[in-house]
Amino acid sequence: MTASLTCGSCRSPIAPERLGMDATLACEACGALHLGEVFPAFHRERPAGATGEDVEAAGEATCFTHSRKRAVGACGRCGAFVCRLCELSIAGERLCPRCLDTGVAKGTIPRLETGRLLHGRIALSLATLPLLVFYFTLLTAPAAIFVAIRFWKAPRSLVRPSRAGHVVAVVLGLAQLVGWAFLVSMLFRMLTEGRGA
Amino acid sequence: MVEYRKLPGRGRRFTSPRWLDVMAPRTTVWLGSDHLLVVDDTGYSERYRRFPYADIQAIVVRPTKTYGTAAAVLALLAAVPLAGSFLTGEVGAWILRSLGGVFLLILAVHALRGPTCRTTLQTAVHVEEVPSWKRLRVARRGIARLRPLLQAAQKETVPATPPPT
Repeated sequence: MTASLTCGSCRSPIAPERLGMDATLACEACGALHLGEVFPAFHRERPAGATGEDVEAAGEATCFTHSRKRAVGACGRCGAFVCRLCELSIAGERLCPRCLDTGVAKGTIPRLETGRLLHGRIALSLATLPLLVFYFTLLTAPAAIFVAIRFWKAPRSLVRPSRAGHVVAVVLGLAQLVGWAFLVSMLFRMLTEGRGA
Repeated sequence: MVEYRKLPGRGRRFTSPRWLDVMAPRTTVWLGSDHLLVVDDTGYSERYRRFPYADIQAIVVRPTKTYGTAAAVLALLAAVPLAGSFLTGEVGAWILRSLGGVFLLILAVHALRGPTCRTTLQTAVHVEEVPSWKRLRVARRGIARLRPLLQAAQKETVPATPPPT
């Protein structure tokens, strides 16, 4: 089965061979204009999905999951035999479906990672946003320092892997705590001086 | 660790009526070693979608009417206070002129950024919208940088020309 292109407005088919970035192509059905580019993969035939081969002789190695299917290899992580159907190739590594699930759940297959928490930004927000209502910083400053240090080695953004947020959060958090310490010492001094007089 | 290089443009991926969706993630597109990475950034987390260069079939850009509509609305928003400034006193006139000036400035920026568009990226199994390429000029620049990588990745695996029909 080969691919097809559809109009972004009315979903009618549009001619891929006439699509280009230099001249607009109007949809024949609705007249919507299109630019674009078609790449060689567009003309590639989609291969049929793999199915396991049945075991023909007794004693043949079989798939761990499908006992009637012939094994074509072993999982690179747990060693379980896999048939053609269960064989999953991720970044050059052969995996069985269970190890794939485990790897995705634990985040041990970076290639399949779908999201990350940005601890640096969370720490930075804890250190900056409460400044609007200063009293909250008594709680949020230690929280910002904790998050920044606790998640110092946690995976960072894939595209902006900087620790600047962590560093700024620690500096601001410490500054706020120093401010609070100064304030408390001033109050204490005023109280003791007042009592002495 | 995989190194990524950012492609031009940024946009928001709206999921509900856009005027309601204040938390819509910011979307950017990055070039990886063998795949394109679309990143949705919510502020405190990132969501990743990978598109191997060998699997990208087409990029379709559809010019939209947003450019003209937004320009007309901004022009109106600038014109009304500017016209009103001639009918009020000195202080009121300055306030209205300032207001009109702000809208004129936004209109100028909008006009300079160029026509708007909607860009989609097609693979064998689905079509992905690329909100960061919502200006024609940005989409052209992005595609120009992406083209050689896609062609290099697909040169050896598939025929460069369509099969005869």
